[in-house]
Amino acid sequence: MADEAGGHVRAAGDTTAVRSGAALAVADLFREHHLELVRLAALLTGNQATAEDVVQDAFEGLHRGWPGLRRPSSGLAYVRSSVVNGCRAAHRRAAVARRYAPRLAERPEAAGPEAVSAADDRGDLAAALRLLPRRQREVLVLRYYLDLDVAEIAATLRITPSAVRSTSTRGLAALARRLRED
Amino acid sequence: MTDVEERLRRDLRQAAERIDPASVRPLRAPRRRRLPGLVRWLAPVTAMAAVIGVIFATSVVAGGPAGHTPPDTRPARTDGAQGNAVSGQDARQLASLAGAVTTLVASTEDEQDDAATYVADGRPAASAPKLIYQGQQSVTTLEATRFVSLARRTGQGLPPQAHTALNAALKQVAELPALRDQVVQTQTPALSVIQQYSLAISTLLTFDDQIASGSGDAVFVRDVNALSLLQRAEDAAAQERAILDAALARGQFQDGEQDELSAANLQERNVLILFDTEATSAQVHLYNSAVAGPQVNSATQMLAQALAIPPGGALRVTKPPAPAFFTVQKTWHEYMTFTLSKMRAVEQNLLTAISARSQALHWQAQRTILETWLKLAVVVLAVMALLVGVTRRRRTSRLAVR
Repeated sequence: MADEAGGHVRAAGDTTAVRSGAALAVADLFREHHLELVRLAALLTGNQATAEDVVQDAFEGLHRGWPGLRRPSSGLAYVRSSVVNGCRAAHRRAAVARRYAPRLAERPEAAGPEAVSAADDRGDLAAALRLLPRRQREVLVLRYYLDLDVAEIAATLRITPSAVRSTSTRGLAALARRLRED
Repeated sequence: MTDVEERLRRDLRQAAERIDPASVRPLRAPRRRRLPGLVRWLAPVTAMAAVIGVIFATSVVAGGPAGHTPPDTRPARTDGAQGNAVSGQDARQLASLAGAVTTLVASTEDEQDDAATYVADGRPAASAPKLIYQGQQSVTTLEATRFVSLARRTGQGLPPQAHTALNAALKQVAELPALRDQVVQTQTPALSVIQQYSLAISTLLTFDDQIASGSGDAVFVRDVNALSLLQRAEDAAAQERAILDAALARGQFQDGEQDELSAANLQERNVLILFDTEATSAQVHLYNSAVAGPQVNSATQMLAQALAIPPGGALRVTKPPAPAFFTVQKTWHEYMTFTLSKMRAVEQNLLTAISARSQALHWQAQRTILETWLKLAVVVLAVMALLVGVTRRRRTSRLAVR
């Protein structure tokens, strides 16, 4: 799939060397990190389809913005930030949809057979995570799923390292309370 | 690592691994963006257009639409680019019109003299004085037509005072035929004819007085003032010529003529004193060297003799050195005409200086406008560059390694 996807990217109509280089680099990133990022997005949104859309948009944005990238090595950080931002946007859209069309809205937690969540899975911290505030959820997922260090999380979320640390601490404390309650 | 952390890591991995790689849809090819360049430049171009729009709107509100500049009523200044920018175009039009008025005034003065002689001769039908008078009327009419044409072509948009004076001058020109009819068809005395012509000439000269109105250029104002004074002096001299011409034609002064001659002479001298004060030393020197010579001196002597005659006395004026076939009246007429021609030559010189100055002001105004637009363009380009820079920086900062 990755090769196929890379081929799609290269076939996007770029002819210049820079564009070809960009396509190849994006294809490499895609090959290595696509699944991981889809899973990250799924953990944040709770829905695989939404996660796939978010990641696709992120890679498309990366491909489009590659010429403006100061350092090619920052591609992964960029696409990771894009995925997190895309998840927030998906949450906002879902919230708006719930607000204005509650009966038709597709709740992330109950998005059909593809739903990653298991609300009835008592004791599952991944499920309990979705009850935390957005920022805490993002920090914990980035830290304990992607194993990013504090600096990388801070860069991805555009917050300070100290905010990452405090948010992480509060999130873990909340999860611990929830576990004790369970 | 705490128990919660270990458990969270494990649960997250388990939750993530529930997503089967085979179930993930393949990445679709990105949609080809339509007109990506245009979209990328849309924001800065729109911003630039907004800036230009604001500046243009501000300039329209503050200074009126292009091509229409409000009259500059500020007092004269030594130098001021803004003042020159406002009055440059007006000054050029006014200088052009002033030249036409000066020529028309000279022609009217000659007509005044011919009319006075014709009346003093008793308005003879089919006589040389009448033919001369009619010939001069044709010349004046020609000059008047030229002036009216020029005024209609360039008289729009002048400062209010100049516009009013121009309208008065045009009205006066339109009334010239009626004055001529009065001279020929009625028994109006020569002095009255001279006075009516003087009134017409004075109205025409009022326009020349307004040439400098609204101008902020001191040199331009000074030259115009000098020209105005010289024209007044010449007008007075022309009256002297006409009055004494008429008196010499009939051999005596009529009622009030000698007093009027004396008043005209006094006015000429007073105005010339003012001219010496207002004009530059070069202009004064030019006048003194141009309006000089045996003919001028002789005319002055004849005038002095005429003024010295006691009231009611016989008009006796000694003929100065002149061709033998010249009568006293002819001598006076020729010498005084020579004097007037010299004064007009100085006026032409001043007009040339005024015209050159107005041209310079016009170019200066053009340059000021060009500089303003260049500055505006630089500002707009700077704003545009800033906007583009900010846009690019914002775009790249998103991509930068953090």
